[in-house]
Amino acid sequence: MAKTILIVDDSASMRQVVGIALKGAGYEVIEASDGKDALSKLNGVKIHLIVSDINMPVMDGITFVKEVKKLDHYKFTPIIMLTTEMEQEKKLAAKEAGAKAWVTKPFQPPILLAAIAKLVLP
Amino acid sequence: MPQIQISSDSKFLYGTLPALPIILGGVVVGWQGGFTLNGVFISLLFALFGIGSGLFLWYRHVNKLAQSNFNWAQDESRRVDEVAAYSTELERLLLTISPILSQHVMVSREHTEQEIVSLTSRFASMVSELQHIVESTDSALDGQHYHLDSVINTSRDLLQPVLESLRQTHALERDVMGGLQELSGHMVGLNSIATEVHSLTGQITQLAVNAANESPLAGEQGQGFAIAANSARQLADESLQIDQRLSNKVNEIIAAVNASLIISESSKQVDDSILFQAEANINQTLSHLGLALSHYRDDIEALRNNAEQIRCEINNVLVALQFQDRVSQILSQVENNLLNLQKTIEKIQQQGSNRDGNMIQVDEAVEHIEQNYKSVSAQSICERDSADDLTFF
Repeated sequence: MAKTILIVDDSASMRQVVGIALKGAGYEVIEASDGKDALSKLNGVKIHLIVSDINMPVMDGITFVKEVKKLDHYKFTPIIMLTTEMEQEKKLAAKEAGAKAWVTKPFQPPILLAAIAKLVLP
Repeated sequence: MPQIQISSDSKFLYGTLPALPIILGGVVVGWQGGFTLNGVFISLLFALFGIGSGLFLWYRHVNKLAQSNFNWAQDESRRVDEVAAYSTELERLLLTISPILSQHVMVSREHTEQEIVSLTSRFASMVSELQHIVESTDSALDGQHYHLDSVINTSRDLLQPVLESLRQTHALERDVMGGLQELSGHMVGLNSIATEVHSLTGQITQLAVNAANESPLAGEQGQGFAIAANSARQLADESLQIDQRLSNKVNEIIAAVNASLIISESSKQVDDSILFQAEANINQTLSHLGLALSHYRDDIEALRNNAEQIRCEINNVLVALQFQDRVSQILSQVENNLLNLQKTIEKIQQQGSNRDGNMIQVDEAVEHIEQNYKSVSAQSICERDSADDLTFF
């Protein structure tokens, strides 16, 4: 059965590029345009991994990760931050919030897929 | 024109200085004429005239200055009004243009986003199609779908027995021809026997004739011998006729066998030629098919390689299209900055005539904008260390 991955990014084109890479590797994809939208989609749906941007309107990525970690059903769901940010402070904030990996945009699909493969349980 | 202030220097320059020569002239006249009453009077007249001239010049200068200052005040007042009007219009312009620019930026951002999404979608479809082509060509090369190798080999295997059958038929024809040649030999032998029989029958006939001729010499006792001789001659005659027919038949059979041999020989040559040609044609056809398959494989391989290269290129393009994310962020920042500018101007405008230059913190605003752009523009891909691409926590 295909694993389901939630993509959270305010850029539709980025969601699409990530979606293409993930669908090509056999994953099922759910999309959300910001942190709040993503939380509304974590409604009992089985999610194996989350790929989230940081700079988003309404609710940014770090806040979103913190909110996810408060949810009993999803607190152990691995989260990858996919962002243009390169500041160490932001990386540290993401790590402290509970993110498992950090991938810098623009990304090479094999790198993202390698990170996902390492974090998603078989 | 700047406002002119009256100073002690200007008093000296425009009042005292012109009066001084006249006063000095009165002093000189008094000194030369001796200090008589007339001399002193003339000197005083000179001095008074000099002072009067100085006061006149000074008064005229002060009037000029007053007129000049009046003109300057009017000019400055007009300029202040113009600057105020300019400032008001500038504020109005910024307040009018800022939302329009903001709207344009937003629309541009949305259009770009939509087009990039559409472009990405098309590229994704192309990647999918190319992937399909690559997989199909892989299958073709492996012979999973088309079995061309198998078809050719099977055809070769099926045609080989046909050729073998033709060869066997040809061998049988050769055997039949050998049989006919052997039969022809036997017929020649049979003809020779018939000739011998014919010769023997002739001798019997001659013997019967001789016996018939000699039988009268034996009298009555020879009559039976003459009858026997006559019978022998009749039998010999019949034998001769049979022999003749046999000989004719043998000759006919020999002629027929020879004709069959000639036809068989001719047929053998034609069959040899056909068999040789058929074998050559089959081998050539199979060879051509093999060559065509080889070219087909080369073409498929080239097609697969090209498709793979195009797929990689499109994947790279998909990676490059991620710039839209950064462009979108920068345009959002432009929108925010325009909105902030609009708010700042509205806030200043509300102050009315209490507005002053200190209300606009230009350096602080520029620093804020630069900081925002710095955070979204970040480092270029080229400057990025590959180690930054992926970090596990």
